[in-house]
Amino acid sequence: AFKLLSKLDRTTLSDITSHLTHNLRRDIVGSLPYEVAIEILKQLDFQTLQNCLLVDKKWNSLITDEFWKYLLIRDNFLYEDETSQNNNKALYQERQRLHSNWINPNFKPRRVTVRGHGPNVVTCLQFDDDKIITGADDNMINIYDPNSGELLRILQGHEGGVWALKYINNQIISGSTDRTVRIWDINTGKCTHVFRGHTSTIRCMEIVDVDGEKLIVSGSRDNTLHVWKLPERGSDILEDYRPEENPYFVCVLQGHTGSVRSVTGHGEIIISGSYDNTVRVWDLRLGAEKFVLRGHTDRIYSTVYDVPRNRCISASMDATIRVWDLRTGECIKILNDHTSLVGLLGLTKDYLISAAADGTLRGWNPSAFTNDFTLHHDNHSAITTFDSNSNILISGSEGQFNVYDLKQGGKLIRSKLLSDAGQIWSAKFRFDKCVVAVERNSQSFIEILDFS
Amino acid sequence: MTEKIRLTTSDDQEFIVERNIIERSVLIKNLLNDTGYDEDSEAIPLPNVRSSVFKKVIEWAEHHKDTTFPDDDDEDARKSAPIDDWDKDFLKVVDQEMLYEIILAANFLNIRPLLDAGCKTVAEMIRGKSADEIRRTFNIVNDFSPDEEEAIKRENEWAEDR
Repeated sequence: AFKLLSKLDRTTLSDITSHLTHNLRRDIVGSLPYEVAIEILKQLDFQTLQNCLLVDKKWNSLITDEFWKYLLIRDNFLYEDETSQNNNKALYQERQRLHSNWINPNFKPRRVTVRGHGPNVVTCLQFDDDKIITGADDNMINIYDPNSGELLRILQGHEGGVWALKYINNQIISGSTDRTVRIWDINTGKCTHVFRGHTSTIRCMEIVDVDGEKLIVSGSRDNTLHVWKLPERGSDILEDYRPEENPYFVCVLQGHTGSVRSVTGHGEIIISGSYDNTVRVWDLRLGAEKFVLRGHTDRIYSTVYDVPRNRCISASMDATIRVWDLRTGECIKILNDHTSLVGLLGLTKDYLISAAADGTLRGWNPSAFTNDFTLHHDNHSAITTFDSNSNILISGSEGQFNVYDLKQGGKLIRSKLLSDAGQIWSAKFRFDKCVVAVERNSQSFIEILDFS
Repeated sequence: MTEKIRLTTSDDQEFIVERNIIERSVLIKNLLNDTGYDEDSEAIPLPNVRSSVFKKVIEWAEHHKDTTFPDDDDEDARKSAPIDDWDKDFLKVVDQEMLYEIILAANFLNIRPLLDAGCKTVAEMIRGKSADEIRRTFNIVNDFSPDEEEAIKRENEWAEDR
């Protein structure tokens, strides 16, 4: 056959070559072992995969529901605590649709505006599919229906502004300028427990799980953190203990010499940031201080715990961000690109995000700490709130509320969603909704933006 | 001088390869470590790799003898890394049959970085194409009935139009 070929002229050879090339085409994906074929498909985007489903029966059969589950994780379409069981394809399609709505600037989310806490500042905001919970300086905690915006309940009991709040399952834990921590039953709206002991305003709160037991850690202007056991759901009788008799009291973490402004933790490790310019790392199993992280030259406003890398990151009034190694307690990086108070920090899969009073948000590589993006609010006023998942970033300041696409390196998608608002106090979002606490004409409002 | 390893391909061709080159193959590396290998040992048989394919694999391994690849276990880093430029050119010029066999060989020999590069190359041949274009690229016959095809399309559109 080779001898024959050598006698042919160029044009014939050319014809043969194109014929051969065509015949050499083969269904690479369909012929490879399943686990290899899947590695190829894992590289592809949603749209192309939809086309792959239509190629033939073989290709269609490769893209199983288990594969959609992989895609849900790859594309960050699951909540942290969510485990999808079946019908992953439908769930993926739904989340993909919501995501496209978010990043399509022409999509108009349904907007519901409801009254908030009168003229008072909304200090805390958290929501899920069933409820929006807000805490405010008017001593109240409000519960709203996230779909209709209806005010379902008002929790009264605090005698001072609510400045720290978290809920877990059906319990709300709140801290106030009245120096108490209160536990509330979301279903009944009743306060079940009052914890006393702090001698000044409670400013921050964290809930951790140590050996299956939930612990509340409250940080206060009295320079201490108090640790309490989260009670099982309460009875009908309000449990109000004197500090020395409280069976839920665990310990006091003492050491800070200024207000405790931020607390974050995981398992037995608690990280607190203080107005005494230090970050402290505590071990709840030992009930003791593990490290005092010194270096900042002004008040600390925010801390995050990077659990997988065993680091913590702190942001300060001194305009810097510091990264600390929690094996040694050493400062391994100082990020000093911001020009004024860095008040907020967040950590996603791809970015450490910081927001400052200089009107910028910055995204940093969480391993190499390169400054990957810098986003400016138009009027350069201080960023007062931001929230992010691995795909979307939202931020608020005086009169401006922005949405960015993190998959496109922080590209600005929207800036006119709430252009009629004054100060944006707090904003949180989930895949389908965004809830924003705003001030307009000296009154507080809760804005619900529905992207479904 | 580095140790030389003898191997025979499925078409009975003998290859002599430096040990540090062939140890890019985790399969061979483990084999050499487990059994011990010296000059008198039998050539290692590679019953499902053709000599022309093995030549390409060796060419790849020689080019990458000093390259540090992401850890095999670090799936995120491996998946998100773009294809190495040299690998891209190396795999671009081969025909589909050869590409297919290189991927199979990389899989059999357990050479993760080559397998990844091969998979990414194929993915690039698919990305952004319609079902019809994909079929043409890989010589695939559509075996769906019109009804089945319609049903899949409807399921897909559900996500886009709602």
